[in-house]
Amino acid sequence: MTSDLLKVPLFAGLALWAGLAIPYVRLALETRLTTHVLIELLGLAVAGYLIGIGLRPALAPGLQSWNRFGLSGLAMAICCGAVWMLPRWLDASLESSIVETAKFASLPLLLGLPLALSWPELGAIMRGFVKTNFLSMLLFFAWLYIASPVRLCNSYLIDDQTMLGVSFIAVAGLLSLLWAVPLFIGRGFAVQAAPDRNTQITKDKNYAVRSID
Amino acid sequence: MRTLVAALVIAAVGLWVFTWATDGFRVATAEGARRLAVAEHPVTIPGVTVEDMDGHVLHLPQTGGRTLLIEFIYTTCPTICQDLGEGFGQLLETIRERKLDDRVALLSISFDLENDTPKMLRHYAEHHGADGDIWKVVRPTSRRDLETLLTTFGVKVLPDPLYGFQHNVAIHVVDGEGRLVRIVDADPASAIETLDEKVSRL
Repeated sequence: MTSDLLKVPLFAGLALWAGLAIPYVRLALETRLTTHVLIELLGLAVAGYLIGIGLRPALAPGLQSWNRFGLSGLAMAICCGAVWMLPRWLDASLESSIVETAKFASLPLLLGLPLALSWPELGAIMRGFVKTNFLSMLLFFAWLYIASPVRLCNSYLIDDQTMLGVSFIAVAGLLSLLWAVPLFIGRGFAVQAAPDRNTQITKDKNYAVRSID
Repeated sequence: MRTLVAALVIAAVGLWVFTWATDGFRVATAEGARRLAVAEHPVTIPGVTVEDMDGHVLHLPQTGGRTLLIEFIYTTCPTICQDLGEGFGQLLETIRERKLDDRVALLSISFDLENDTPKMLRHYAEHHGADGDIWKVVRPTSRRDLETLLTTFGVKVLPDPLYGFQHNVAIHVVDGEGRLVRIVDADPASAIETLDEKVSRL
């Protein structure tokens, strides 16, 4: 079974998770709203995702009948993400060690991990749906954080809130580029979709030509 | 089939957790949660000592049966606390007009013990027309009392490199029995509305 695991992403994920949990790192990231959200929260989700990639060969076959089209895992990830989008719980995580622990456990295990197990199962349309919704959500929150005249988190300064909003726009821009670029050079992928047969034919032709010669 | 069951169970649990996490889709922020919690479960204010702009010592929450409208401020604040002062000024007018002065009192509590000496409190009071009777401007006499007040009211004060502090902006309604019963927006309109609701009806 251990041979089924992809060790590099697994250990990278575990290391990231542990790194973010180091008290010094954790407290430093949590002094600013922007680093709290963009590095800590996102980092925890990414850590779970990497662990998920690592465990995929071992877990995916057993889970397949429970997670067709990646539906269950996606539902879990969305539910978990929805709760941590609430400013209230960011504030609470700074003041309650129970909430803080819940944050450190749930983001990797209930968001990143199930997403990694489900992503390959999702159809192209569903992936597009998830990506575009994520982008629009990000931009909605960007607008909210920039435009809100009141502080949404009682623990952070209003300038910090504006900065998070601006960072969200930057992240949304980067992600849309990252996701859109392959669409324009997509022809390469389409040809690759059936590479074996094509190459086979060409080879055969060559062979035929040669044999005529 | 299994997937359908699993996804539905997860979605149902997720919805339940989200409902719990937002107090039934009512609050998304800590400020909202604080206001809802107080409205549903009034908080008894523990005894603390404050001194006013004349150096007189007062014991909170001794209200004399009056409803207290409380704001937290610091007098060197360049922006919002001055607006709060304006708002309380308008509220003072309304209280006088409606002859509610035996039923309601205004209290501005400073959380900046270092800078807000009684002299500074007096300056703020005079600038905004606090009369020292219906509207007093005070500060806690000790850091411990300050912490007690901030914790009980759920007020969070953050040092701000540019302006001094950032803090929750709201009017806290303490009833005649010394219980924090409501937290409302600090603009004069909603404060007067609260006055109608909480005081005129008594």
